[in-house]
Amino acid sequence: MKLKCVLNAQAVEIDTAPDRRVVDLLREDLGLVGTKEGCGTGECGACTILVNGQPRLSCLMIAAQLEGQNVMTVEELADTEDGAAVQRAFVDNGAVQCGFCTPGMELTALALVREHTLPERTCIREGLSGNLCRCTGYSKIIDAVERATHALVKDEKP
Amino acid sequence: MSAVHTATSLNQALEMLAQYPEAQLMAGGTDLLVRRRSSMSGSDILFLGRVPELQDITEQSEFLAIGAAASLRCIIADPLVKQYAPLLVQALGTIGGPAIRNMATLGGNICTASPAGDSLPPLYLLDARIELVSRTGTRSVPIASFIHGPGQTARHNHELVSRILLPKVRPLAQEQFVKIGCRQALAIAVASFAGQAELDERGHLAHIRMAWGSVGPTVMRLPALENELTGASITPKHINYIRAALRTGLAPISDGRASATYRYQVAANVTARFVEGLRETSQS
Amino acid sequence: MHLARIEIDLLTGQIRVCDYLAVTDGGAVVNPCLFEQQIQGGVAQGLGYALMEDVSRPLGLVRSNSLATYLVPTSLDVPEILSCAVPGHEASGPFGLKGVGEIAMNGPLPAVANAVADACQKRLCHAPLTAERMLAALEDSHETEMCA
Repeated sequence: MKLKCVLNAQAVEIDTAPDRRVVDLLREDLGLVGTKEGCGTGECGACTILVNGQPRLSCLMIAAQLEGQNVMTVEELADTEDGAAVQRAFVDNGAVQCGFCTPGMELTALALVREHTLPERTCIREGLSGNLCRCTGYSKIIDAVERATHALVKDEKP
Repeated sequence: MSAVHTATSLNQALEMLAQYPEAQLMAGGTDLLVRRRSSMSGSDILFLGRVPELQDITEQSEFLAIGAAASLRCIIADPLVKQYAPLLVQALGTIGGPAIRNMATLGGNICTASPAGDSLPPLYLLDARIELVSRTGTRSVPIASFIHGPGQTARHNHELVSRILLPKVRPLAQEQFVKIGCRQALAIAVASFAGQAELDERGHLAHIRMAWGSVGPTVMRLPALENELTGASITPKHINYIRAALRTGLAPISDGRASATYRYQVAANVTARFVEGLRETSQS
Repeated sequence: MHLARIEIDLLTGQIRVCDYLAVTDGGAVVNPCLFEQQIQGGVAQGLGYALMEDVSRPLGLVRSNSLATYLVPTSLDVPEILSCAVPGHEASGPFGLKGVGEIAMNGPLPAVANAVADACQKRLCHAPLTAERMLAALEDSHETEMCA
């Protein structure tokens, strides 16, 4: 099928099998290897992308589902003000260790900060509950999201 | 490669279903795509996620209608669902994690018909009816008659689940959904409990309804127990009676997640806690 | 030294770790953020080991072979983790350092097991300390059987 969607702020037309897994489409066909596959069964969140601003699991999506949708992968984060703030906060607050969960975490965090102004740590924890991390114990990821929300409100360095 | 047929209206979906009767139905895909991966299925897919008639949540004169392909996130956030079915909102919030809830649908959770389906105990208590449409007409079936067993439903091959119909009744004073899993998110229920109850002015049970999940092949109800308890006061004797009724009435199995013994114990304990909580409410 | 504050649901056996303190002698601390990262990560893995991670292999067949069946903690399963470093200097280590990459994993299982014993005077001796094992212990009057 020829599928048309907006991918990372660009209108694109992609020729692909309609049942192609979106994680494979992104990584193998489009070279967008920022999205990771941790399990392939929706259990880890590493493959998280934003579709119409909402976190979705690309390992449990097929290409046909992207028709007409607005898709964001981790590669676009730096090009948005709030995405860049989330990235800076992750780096500055020690929220990245091996980095495998990070793309999915950052996109989920971006959706969270767009939906909530100054969320409580419990709200952040709940929002990230579908993204597994083995390295950090989540504390510094929650620190980073908290500081990113403060930075976005006050426009100060996270 | 499998063909994917994307319907953009209910009529088109029904035509496609007739044309491709072997196609697997997909809305959110969170169960189907996992199953397809493990079974390496090559069947066509009939994608229903773009059918607007299946996404709406509307108030009718006698019932609340939830589109079978509405996402769990939309259902949880809908003010009508919060008004008429807060017990369902409680349960849906325990399914998977945030991204799963953005994708998964109520129709999917029902049609998967897992013994551990978290939406199911509340839907049984809410007397949900499952609306099925085909090219020859529409019918609705009580959910208890729709689900026959694990993975087995009353849907015929030429039918689609279109809406879940919830009678518009006032929620009872005490409603609770409890899910016991092996962790706090991304968990499959080891046992679950849904309870609705109301006390009269004497502190006796005016109404009590209970349903249990993951302790039998489908949701378990004990209507005889509910009848016995209606009008009764809440005493330790009644709690013991409930425990005994559950011991004979529930049918848990042992699997990798938990033993049958634990499933019975925890189901009985959370039920007792719910009922004893009512007594404390009546005494306060 | 590790300290876990826990709550046990006496009706379900579920153990919730509410707070966690890890005090670690890692020698000299060159990068405090990295030090804390390692400790927090190790504690989280240790809590998974303590409470939910279980390689099920009946008759030698590994049943817990996916993230659906081998459970690791989510953000809702891990508390806020406070890490303190004991100042020190390891003479044999570069810049007085010792490695802290994994040592934090050792503490959570005994810390949680001790907290359980403190809370309900039941000593669980098999990891993971699942809700099922906890409930069985709570409903069993013979404490020693749990360590058989």
